[in-house]
Amino acid sequence: MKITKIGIAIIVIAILVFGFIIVNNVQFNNNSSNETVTMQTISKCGVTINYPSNWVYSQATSNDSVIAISKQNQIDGLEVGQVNINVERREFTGDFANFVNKSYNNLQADPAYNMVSSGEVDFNGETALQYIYTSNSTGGVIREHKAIWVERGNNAYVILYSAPIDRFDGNLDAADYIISHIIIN
Amino acid sequence: MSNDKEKLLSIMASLESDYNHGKISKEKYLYFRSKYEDKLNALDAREATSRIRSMQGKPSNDSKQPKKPAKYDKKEEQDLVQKYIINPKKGDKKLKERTPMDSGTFKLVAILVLAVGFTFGAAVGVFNFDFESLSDANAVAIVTDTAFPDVADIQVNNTVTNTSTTDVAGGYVETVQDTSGSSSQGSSSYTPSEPTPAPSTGGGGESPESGSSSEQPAG
Repeated sequence: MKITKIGIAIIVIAILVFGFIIVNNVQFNNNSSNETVTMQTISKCGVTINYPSNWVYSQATSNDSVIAISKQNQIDGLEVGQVNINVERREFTGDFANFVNKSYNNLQADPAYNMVSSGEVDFNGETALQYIYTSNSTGGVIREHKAIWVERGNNAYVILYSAPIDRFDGNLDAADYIISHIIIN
Repeated sequence: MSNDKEKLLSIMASLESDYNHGKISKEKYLYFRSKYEDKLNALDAREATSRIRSMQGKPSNDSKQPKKPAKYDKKEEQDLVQKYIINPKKGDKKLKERTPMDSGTFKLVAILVLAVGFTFGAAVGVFNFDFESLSDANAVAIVTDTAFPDVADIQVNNTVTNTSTTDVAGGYVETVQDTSGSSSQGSSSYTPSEPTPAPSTGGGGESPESGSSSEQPAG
């Protein structure tokens, strides 16, 4: 009888703990708007993104794109995301830094692109290459981009945060939060 | 003698009662009943033999029987009764230890194991399950940004430097000639300016456009 009571108590405690973990692990309060935002997770081709529910899954036009998300309230009437995070992958041979630098040498030669800064950053404990640049190739709208390059064997992964230049800084904290929670296997 | 018989009859009555109340199984009941009946028959036979011997004037065998085996039999009998017929006492730890795990405890342990396993499995599944089935139909927006825009590869200008020295009337003229060329093409948005190579003939002028320079030190 005593064992039965202990067993029932253990089952109840296990269910309570399980529920507590589920409920508390996926919610946090957005202080600015005082709305409850839940965290969501999507995975594709070894890339996992944890993102708040005010961002949505998007389809990128780039053939190199693995997974992309857009901020929900920054999608225009043509369903084109204006504030986006796009994870792309491209296979390379040779030196990783040379491959990345070559990409930006090409970009810098194009007058539509202007390099703002570049350097090494820490990405989840590993060294990554970061490039910030602007582009005005889309209908005269100047967009700012922050690209973080990560090496995985013969694949170069780039996490690209893009936004119109006037909205870039306003969404940078959220983007940095999402980027810091991206897992690339 | 009659005392043993009475005890035996009493035990048999108790056995009968236990069996009628369902406290012991039929197999045990039959086993012990036949055993006690054998003992009863043996007692009767012994009693009859004793009577015959007494009638013949011979001494009874009862006195020859050692007391120790009788005590041993009695003790063994009590143990058997205690073990199989009478319910074990609450304070009898020895008997309690021998009690195997009953079906209730086993069921509880099984339920506990299943519950813990289910909870653990569900938790792992919830935290690792990909709730968003990522088909293109689920995409809400279109992303046109890419880190690999359609920009042509740029080839670095090749520079060839030729140096020649010529004696001129006691002095010398050193001519440095740079020949630059560019072959980067293919982009609709970017067309780099192409420097025109202009070989120097050794004159004293400087032509930055052509990338050539002449140096003439005083002799």
